[in-house]
Amino acid sequence: MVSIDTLLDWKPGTLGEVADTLSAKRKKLVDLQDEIDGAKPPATWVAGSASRAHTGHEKLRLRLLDMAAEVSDVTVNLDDAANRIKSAKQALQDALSSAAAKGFTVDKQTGVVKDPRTYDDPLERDAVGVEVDRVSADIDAALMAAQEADLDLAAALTAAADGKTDGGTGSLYDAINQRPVSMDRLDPEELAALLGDDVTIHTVSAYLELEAEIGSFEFEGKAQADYKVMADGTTVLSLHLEAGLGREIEVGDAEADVGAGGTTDLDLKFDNPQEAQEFLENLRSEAFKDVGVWDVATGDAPREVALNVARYVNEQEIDSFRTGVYASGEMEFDSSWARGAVEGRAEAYYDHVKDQFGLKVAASAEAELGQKDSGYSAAAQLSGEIKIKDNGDFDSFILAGKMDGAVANDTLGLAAPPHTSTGAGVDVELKVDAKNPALDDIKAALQAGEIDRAKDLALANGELNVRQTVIEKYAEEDREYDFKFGEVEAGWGASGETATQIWHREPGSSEMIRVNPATDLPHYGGLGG
Amino acid sequence: MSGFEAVAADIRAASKEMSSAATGVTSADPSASVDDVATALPSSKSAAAAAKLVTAWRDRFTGWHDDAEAQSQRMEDSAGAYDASDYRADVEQKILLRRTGGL
Repeated sequence: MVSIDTLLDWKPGTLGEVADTLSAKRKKLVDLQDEIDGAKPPATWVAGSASRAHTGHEKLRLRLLDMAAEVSDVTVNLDDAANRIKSAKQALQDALSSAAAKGFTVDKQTGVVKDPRTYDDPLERDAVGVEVDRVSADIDAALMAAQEADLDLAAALTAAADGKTDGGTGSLYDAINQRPVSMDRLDPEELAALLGDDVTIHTVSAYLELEAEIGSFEFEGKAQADYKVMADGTTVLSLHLEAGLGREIEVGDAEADVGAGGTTDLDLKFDNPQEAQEFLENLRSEAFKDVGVWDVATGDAPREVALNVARYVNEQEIDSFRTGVYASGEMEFDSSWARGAVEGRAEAYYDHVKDQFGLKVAASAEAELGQKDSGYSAAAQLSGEIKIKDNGDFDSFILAGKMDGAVANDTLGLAAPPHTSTGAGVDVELKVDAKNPALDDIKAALQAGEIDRAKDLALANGELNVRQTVIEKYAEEDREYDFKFGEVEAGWGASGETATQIWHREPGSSEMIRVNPATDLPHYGGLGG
Repeated sequence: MSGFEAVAADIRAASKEMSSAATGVTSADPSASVDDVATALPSSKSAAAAAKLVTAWRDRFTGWHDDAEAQSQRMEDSAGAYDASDYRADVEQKILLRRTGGL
């Protein structure tokens, strides 16, 4: 096993610099695609040495694909090893500090931890023995983690040296789709768990609109549902209820229409897409359940519909329940850094299930994203959200939005397919939570109200998910219920968005891994999951 | 430009692109950077593996460059030698391929 002295001597930062250099070399290789295409012997040339030229070109092309794959494979593994060794070294240093604080000695060659003191009291001796064992286990775990990272990196370097990394037969861009050795070991379920509930594979937006007119009385209500199948198969249905539809929903002591706008946002969590789909399918019939001519005649139909929706929603597992639109002045926080972020922001909500405040920083983040002559401001539209626990502790900072494909390539170091540069762009989400390595700096930026700096830090250090999607309209339908004395109109529609390609970057990492949901994730396969 | 001149120009253009690719590959050669793995991780398995990779990549990138330049040169030579008789041979071969369903 790696010794303590050895690990203390390792420099993960230097390893990260090598990864950065190789990343730049990899980009140079991918950029040679035009030259390789242009170097193909002309199709009009078929006689003489044409055949040899065609064969020679193809051989060179395939060799270059393998070389690009090798460089990419080594790059992602260097980045992975740098992060793992950095964590292991930190864990080792923490364990050594803990040992020193307790007066233990640690042999830096063998890793043996000892307490030089003697104890008359056997109970005290046993208690210290437990502490010695714990520190020793922490040291062993750190050394083991470093050794595993070293072995994985060595395996990748050896595979590259031996020419065992296959670049396929496609484009140079396709050839560089590599993952670190540590991630190669993940089965589809584990890969999905890594992406977890941070990455949406499918989104189905469905709405139910109701309009009832009884003489001079008019009632309107809208339920907008965003149904999201996450990478790990869990399904969240975000329900936005307006007007009377949400008024009877209660979670804890909160009522739905406490906010100025009377809006209610709920996240309903389902174990799988099928359950969520059943909910959506039943929403329409449940809304009109037992609503009869009498209700319409007496003017109770809108209330009955609202009650039905509320009852039906209350039967589900409510994961998040957000109410209210508050002015910044009404928000009070114990945490000083939160105040800086609140200043000047108008929109906020309280989540009654998660006991959490949310602050929306959309306008500021978007404006601050612009850096002169970078081309960044015009292309990037990110809106932000800061979540704060009700005790004032930081929960997360999220920036999300659309980014032009070419800008995403430049800014995020992506190697997105060329056509994204002229297409609709990509969905970008940056997330910073309490585990982020740059958390203190990001919190300090938020404390100072510097969303721009927080954004830059998040771009460099946050967990990053980029999705390329296709959008499809599933259904659109209008129905009229004529109750003789009046009319109830219901509109129903749904459209879906499916991620066709995902790039994921772990917090603190520089490398994006590419995930194809159709082939890499087990829960892909349409709404039926 | 006549038919055979056009083909020769296309071959020359492809030859130039291959030469550009050769230059590009030289500038993308990462072998020197890999040496720093030994500095970053002294006494590690990776340091030993990296030393082997430096040599392998240097040979591979240099080899690709040289082979690409040779390919470029051969195409340049072919373009120079591509005359009317080659053009006629090309046309005849194309006609033959079309008749036999090969084109």
